[in-house]
Amino acid sequence: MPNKVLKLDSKDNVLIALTELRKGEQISFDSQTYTLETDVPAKHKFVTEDLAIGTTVRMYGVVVGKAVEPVRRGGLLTTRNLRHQAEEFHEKTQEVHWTPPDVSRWQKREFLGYRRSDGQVGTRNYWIVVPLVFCENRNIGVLKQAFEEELGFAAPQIYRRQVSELAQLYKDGRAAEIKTHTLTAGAVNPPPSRIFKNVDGIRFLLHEGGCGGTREDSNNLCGLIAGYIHHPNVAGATVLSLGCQHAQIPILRDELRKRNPHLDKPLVIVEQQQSGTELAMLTKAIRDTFLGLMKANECQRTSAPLSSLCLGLKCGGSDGFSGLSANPAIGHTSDIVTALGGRTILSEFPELCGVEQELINRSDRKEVADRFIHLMRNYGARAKAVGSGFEMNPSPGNMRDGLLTDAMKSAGAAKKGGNSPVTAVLDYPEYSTDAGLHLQCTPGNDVECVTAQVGAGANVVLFTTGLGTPTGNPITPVVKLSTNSALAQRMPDIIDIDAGGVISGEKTIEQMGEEVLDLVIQVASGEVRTKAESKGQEDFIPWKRGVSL
Amino acid sequence: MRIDAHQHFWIYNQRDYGWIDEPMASIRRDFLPADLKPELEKNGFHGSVLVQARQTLEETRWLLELAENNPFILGVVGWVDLRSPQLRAELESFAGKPKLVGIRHIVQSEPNDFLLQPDFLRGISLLQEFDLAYDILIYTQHLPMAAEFVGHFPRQHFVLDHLAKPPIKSGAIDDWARGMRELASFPNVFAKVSGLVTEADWSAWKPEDIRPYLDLAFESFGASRLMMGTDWPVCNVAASYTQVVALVKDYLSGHSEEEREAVLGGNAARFWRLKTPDSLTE
Repeated sequence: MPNKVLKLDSKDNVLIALTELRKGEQISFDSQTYTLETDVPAKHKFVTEDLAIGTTVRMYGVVVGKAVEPVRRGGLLTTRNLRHQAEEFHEKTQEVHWTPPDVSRWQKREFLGYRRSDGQVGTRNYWIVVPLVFCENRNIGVLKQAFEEELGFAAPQIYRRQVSELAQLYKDGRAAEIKTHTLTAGAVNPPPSRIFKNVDGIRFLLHEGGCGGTREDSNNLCGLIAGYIHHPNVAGATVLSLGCQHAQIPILRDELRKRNPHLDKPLVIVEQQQSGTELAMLTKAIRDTFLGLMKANECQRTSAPLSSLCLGLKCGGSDGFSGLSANPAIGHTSDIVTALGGRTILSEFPELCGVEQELINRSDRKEVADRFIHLMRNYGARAKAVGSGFEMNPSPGNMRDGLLTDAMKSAGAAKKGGNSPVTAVLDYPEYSTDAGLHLQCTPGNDVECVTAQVGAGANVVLFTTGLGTPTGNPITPVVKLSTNSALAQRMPDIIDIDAGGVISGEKTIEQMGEEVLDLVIQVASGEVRTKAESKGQEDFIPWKRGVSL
Repeated sequence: MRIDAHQHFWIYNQRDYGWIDEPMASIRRDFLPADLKPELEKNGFHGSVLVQARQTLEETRWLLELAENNPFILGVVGWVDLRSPQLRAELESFAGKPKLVGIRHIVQSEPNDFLLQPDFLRGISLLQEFDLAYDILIYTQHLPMAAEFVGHFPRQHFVLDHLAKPPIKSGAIDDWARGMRELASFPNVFAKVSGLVTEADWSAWKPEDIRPYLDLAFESFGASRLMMGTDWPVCNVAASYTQVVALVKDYLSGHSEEEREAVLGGNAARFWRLKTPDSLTE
């Protein structure tokens, strides 16, 4: 490895260890020498000057925390001696001028997508089945059992064989062997061939909302579901209503009209309290859904420009390398796509804490900046009111791997948004329409955030991880990037592309960002299926902001 | 047209072919086009697909040179470093060689999760752009991973070598059958009926030992996705070229003529879009 440490900005008073460093080691950097007080694990930070109690710590040029114990020059920063502190933010302090990257090599590139009548282009072709309220969850499960196997969409049952082997031993009176028996890793039955060859699958979405909570939550659920129905990856939908719930069918129809007044996709809506028996409701749902699938099967892929891409930008299970490798890499991908007229979405507001001012300065209009300020302050206040302000965001895994404070995490997280102007701010669950980088109000929660990004129209999600998370989405391919090569080697079954080459110096951030875009085009065109798709990771959790009642 | 879908050539030396060990001593010598041509003619084959043995770019270039000079070599499955950042340039260097029809990496000797490594997968994802198929060389235990692997590339053309080397000598079949059925469920995967005598008892194999495995191959892949290959000269450790061909021809005697011709060359020609030579003697 060429460098042992890294300094991100001239205003910083910390150095990041790129590899394990030992107590007593002498580190030379920028014509200064530092003697390390203790071992410094990889991804962790030591200070370049003595810190008194209350001194601010800067990384990426912004305040990421303050010392709550004295720290000597060369001393390791820990969750004991460092507390979260972030710079205040307010209206635009300066104009930012962006020079887009040279995108000439991408101008003529296209992907093969599903062009819908409203002009949006999908990267997949799914049918979704979704309940308006949790009372219908069981019926969703019944429909799933009925449709998946028969139409050839069921996943191979790898683990069922293992349970079957153990059960056989038990039945044969050989229970003593259960502890040591070698379990095979093969599937039980291969799926029958697909009847609807142009349909990528039927997705059965489950959730815990629609009633028993605030009106804001049931209205937001209808907005989110409308977003999924409107999404270009969805050919048609079946919606199950009970009848008495807060999330009423007219509210869903209103939300659909807001997004597309001329929606012409096959849409099957059934209501149990209307139909009478479960048998009556499901019989109708099954026939109408099958008819809808026949229509969905007529869709074919055709050429589409890269401006039809809408990329969700996400980090999860982050480590101290996220902000150095994978996040800036997808930031460059975002810059290219927005320069080509596409949309990108940066969310996770609690992880923009401390870097708001830069984003405000990058907003292309005052209304955009004002809306961001308003939503950010509002969300921050709501979190504080329930005793869990943004500073509580980093997880135990984050902190073990060097992300000690929320501001430190945010500084690296914001790199996902690249450098392009912010052209729109979305509240949850609004849908994206303008070209450019969007800021979307969501939590940092991995599944709630991706669920929301897709609900806003993301047709590919770029998800960076340092610790390794398998999560995916029911209707949009989630491309998983490892921030470090050790993760890609240890957990290859969940990682699609490794950004560790940026840490070792083999690749520049720009090269990595372009490689990611090459993969995005292949994934969008259906040439490559992601690891999360292979595993059937269909994680779906609508964000619940209010109390239960 | 009848095509041998899998054969090798080499100029033997200890360094490059160290895998040819003591028990395989009979093939520790050169095998070149002049050795194969009479065997093809004797058995009614019009041509062959030549597959890599060494894992170097030099091997790929040498095989293509042999193909240029010997019209009966209809296609070459070569090697490139699929994990290399320079892969695109490597593939572009072969752009003027239409006889390069596929790529193979010897996965059977790599660590178990090799088929899922992101940098390897990235290399595979490039092959379609260059119109190259991929030969999967694995053992039975890799079959579940292979199914996951091919699932990532719905439009890539794959062919399974040697039916994943079933444990014919031991007679075990269940795990292999299960894995084969799963892999066969992907319509973009074909399979070579090849290398089977090498997995049997070299000195004492009988067609009845191999029949159950052929049955399963036809049941899962079907006659439209299977292709005959001899794996000559490796097959020589257990059988002659003629015996290997007879094994498959006899098995096919119970099938229709259409299916016979498909397995004996039609499928290979279709899979790799091979062009017929006008005559074997040019």
